[in-house]
Amino acid sequence: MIPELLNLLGAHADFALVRLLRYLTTRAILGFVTSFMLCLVFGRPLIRWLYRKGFRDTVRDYGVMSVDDKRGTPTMGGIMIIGTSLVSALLWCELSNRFVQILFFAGVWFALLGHADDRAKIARGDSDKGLSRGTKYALQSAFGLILGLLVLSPATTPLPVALASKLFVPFYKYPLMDLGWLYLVVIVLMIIYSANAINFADGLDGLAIVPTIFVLVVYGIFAYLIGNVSHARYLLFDYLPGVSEMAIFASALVGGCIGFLWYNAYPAEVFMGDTGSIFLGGMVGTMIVLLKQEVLFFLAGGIFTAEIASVILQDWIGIQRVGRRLMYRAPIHHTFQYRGWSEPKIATRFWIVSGLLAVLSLATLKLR
Amino acid sequence: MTDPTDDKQVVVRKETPTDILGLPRGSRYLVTGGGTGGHVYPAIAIADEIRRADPAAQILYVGVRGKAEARIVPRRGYPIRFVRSEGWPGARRPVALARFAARLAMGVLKSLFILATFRPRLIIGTGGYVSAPVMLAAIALRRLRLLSARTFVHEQNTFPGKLNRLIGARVDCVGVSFPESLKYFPRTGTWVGYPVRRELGGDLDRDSIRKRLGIPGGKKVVFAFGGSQGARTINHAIVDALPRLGQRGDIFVIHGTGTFRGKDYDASADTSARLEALGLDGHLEDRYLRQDYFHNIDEIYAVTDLVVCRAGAGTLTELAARGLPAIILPKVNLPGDHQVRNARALAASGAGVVLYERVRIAERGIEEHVPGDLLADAIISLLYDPARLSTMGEASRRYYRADALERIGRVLAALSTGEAMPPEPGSLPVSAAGARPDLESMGAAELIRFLAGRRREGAPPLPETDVEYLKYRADDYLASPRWQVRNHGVKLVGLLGYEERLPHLVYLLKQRRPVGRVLQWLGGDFVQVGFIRRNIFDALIHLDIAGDETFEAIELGLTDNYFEVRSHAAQAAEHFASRLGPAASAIERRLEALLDDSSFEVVCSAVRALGHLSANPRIVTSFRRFLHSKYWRIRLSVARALTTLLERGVVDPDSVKDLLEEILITSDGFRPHFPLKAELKHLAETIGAMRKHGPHPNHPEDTA
Repeated sequence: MIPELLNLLGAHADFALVRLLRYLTTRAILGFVTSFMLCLVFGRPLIRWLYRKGFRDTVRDYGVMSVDDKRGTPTMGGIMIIGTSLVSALLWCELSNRFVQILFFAGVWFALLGHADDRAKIARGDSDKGLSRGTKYALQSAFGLILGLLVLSPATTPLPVALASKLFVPFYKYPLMDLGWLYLVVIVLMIIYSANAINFADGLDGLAIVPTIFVLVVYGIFAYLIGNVSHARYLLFDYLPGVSEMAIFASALVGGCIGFLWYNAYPAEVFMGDTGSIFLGGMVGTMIVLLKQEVLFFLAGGIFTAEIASVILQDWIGIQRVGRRLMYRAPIHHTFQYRGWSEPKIATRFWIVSGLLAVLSLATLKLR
Repeated sequence: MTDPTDDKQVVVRKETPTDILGLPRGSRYLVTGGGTGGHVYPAIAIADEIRRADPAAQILYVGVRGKAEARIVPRRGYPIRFVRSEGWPGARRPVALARFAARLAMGVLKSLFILATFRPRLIIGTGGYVSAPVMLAAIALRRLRLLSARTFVHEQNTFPGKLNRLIGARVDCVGVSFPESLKYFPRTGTWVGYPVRRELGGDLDRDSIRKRLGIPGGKKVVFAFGGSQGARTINHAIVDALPRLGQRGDIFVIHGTGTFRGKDYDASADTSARLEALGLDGHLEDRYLRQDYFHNIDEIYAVTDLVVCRAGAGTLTELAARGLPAIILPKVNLPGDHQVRNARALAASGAGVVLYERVRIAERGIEEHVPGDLLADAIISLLYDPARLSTMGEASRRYYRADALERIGRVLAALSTGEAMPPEPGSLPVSAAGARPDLESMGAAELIRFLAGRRREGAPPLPETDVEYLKYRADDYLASPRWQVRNHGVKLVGLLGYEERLPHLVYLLKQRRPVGRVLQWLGGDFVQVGFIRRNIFDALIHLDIAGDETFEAIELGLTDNYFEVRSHAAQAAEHFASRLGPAASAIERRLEALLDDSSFEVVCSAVRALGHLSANPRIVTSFRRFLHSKYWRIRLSVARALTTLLERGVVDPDSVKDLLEEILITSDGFRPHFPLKAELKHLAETIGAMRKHGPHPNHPEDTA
């Protein structure tokens, strides 16, 4: 909003500070600071409010309360990330930018979906009984379809028409192939995948949020570079005008995530719940599709890839069809827990791996 | 008396010509329901009652072509029209499900048409999928205010089917046959009983009937029958019971074999063959009477002391009407298991004893039977306990609503004139039934959670009748072709302490029939999948039978190729450690081999088991390699095993002390503890205790 306000002032406001505020990097930094500070200010009242409203991780009866697990802790802390990052993005992004508009739409869609899921879980007092799997996938696919149609039809696409349906892979300069309308399938699957990926990883304190931060940083940098003519040319990327505005959005999200981590760090004062994980998954997925870096996500979000792969292998194949466990437990972080790793140790090791994967992903900028 | 509404009702009754029940004359009634005779006969009985009350009534029957109603209804003089419908095929069959939906939709469309042209005043459904299209159409039209007809559903069984539950919640009134089923229709239900056609009561002089049937004086009479078609289980069981019953000398058996003649079973011929095979042919004239079909069943009932029968709602009602005690052999695997539910409801009221069909898992497939000796013992123990027999008879009579038809008539009249419902009858005969857990409604997983919870809490054992029922459920699951279901069966065997099934568990373990190629490629091995084999060992621990079969299973499990089986087999070895006897050395050898296992979980279980099992001090040296293991859980197991070995006096303190000092200590093996929650829990408990006992629980005299 601020860039538009500055434009309204026009020539009256053409001095150094205002020029500074127009810079993308400045706005990105301020976006980060804004959402982070909002978290620090509103975090604790929010936690108290969530607890009072009964948004707790399954409803408690004091008589049977277990004293060695974390049930009872307030959940739906994702509201913190959603609120702060959307406010910050609203302030610092150019709202006329098509990419930003799409991201806002995605944000509202997935925030409502995640919230409905959490509400259902709390209403039924069972963390396995949220929205049905079918409903969730249907609503995620619906968004994927809308996004796909938006991106692929020449009249509405915010991307260069020639590039819209081309598939890019990491470590390779040229588009792998032009999928045409088949690309719609890729987009829908990508959205479902990313929206669930973070949800599966969200099992231990700080486990989902830090890899998400790394992924957002990677894609924020990609957005900044691809949306800049000279950087894109230097790195041999196809220039996508306007996408750099998404870097500000990404940094606002990172600010919200780090602010949330402040409270969520082991042992957690608040969980993000599906409100947070589905929202973040949806945002990341949308960003990935708009940047045309779908395949890179399997590397940058390698932790999520491992989590989902382990669930498919263990639950869908092993437990439901074959009749045995193919690994100790799934998602994969539970295997490590079962083997005796303590919770903060697993989280820290996953952070380290996701950091290394982020560095590797950034290397694909040049290694092509 | 001065209530103005009273006057109004009287006026209404005076103006419209009505009969004793208050049904308006000449109205149109639509009756629907069928599929089997069990749904048709009550519908006919209700229709007859309407016609008796109002000969001018127009009654239209709606059914499905080719089903029981198509045969029966025209013979009774009612016009019938047909709609399409189909039973619920189960959620797992998409093609059948689509056909079901299409047929039902077509049925509903045609029903809409029938309703629009016939414009009935009352719509009466007696359940089964046959009544679904008309009832759904009626409900829809009522919602849209396009139809003013009132809707009534009669439920014959204790447990309503899916469609009846769905429809029952949306009609004006549901009349149930048994008080138990009221809980499924909290808003619309009313207990009316099971409508039986009014028959002319003949001369039921017991002595003359006995003489006519050739029953010698002084003999007690058992009447065994499986309905008009007959039931193979009952026919087999009662014939098999004859030798033992014959030993008593004063028991007379009347056996209705039924008229069924199919390609693999002929009720009459099969019974003859069975009698011959037992060498009973021709030695039975003074204690056995057999007929395919009894034309005047009332005569038979009149001389009967005890009935052996199926648990159809109609049969049970006939018994209750005559106050007869019964041994009930419910037919299993019917939709919703409704015969079992009927039987258990009756047994809970004290009117009957249930014997379940045992599922014999034979090589040729599944076979259901009731052992003859079991039946004979049940018959003898009841017949020679007159006090019990008469209390059962009384309970049975209490179960019956002789006025079912009158009551239904009153309900229908109230519905059609818009008056208030006639009041509920006073007390329900089975008040205790509400307190028992509703085992029948629990799915397998829920049942297992329920039983495991009771086991954990150390709850008292379930009543014998419930255990019998659950054993039958366990057998049913064990016979399933789906491993997911068999797995439930294995768990139930353990939780129920179903000792008779131990050989079967061992058989499953030994079977080792490989699965198909695709599943093998995905990591599968045998048809009795890993989970089943693993859970067998949990069941063995629950059963707690120290014997060769158990030990053989453990030996087998310790070399299984699925890690969880090895681990749980080791746990079983630990459980039986002190009772292994000669099997101990072989099991110990296999456990030692497991110390090199690739799965840390197996190693942990093996180490602990060896702690309980080993009598060899040298075992300590084989633990040495784990002292610095990267898995703290293995180090934990070693420490625990060493303690056990010390306590058992296998090793001396000095040798263990060396190891103790070598065990690597790291701080990753910790478990979080939340003191705030602990204190809050304590606080809550204190509050609870004070609420119960007053402010000073330690000084009760203060509270007085």
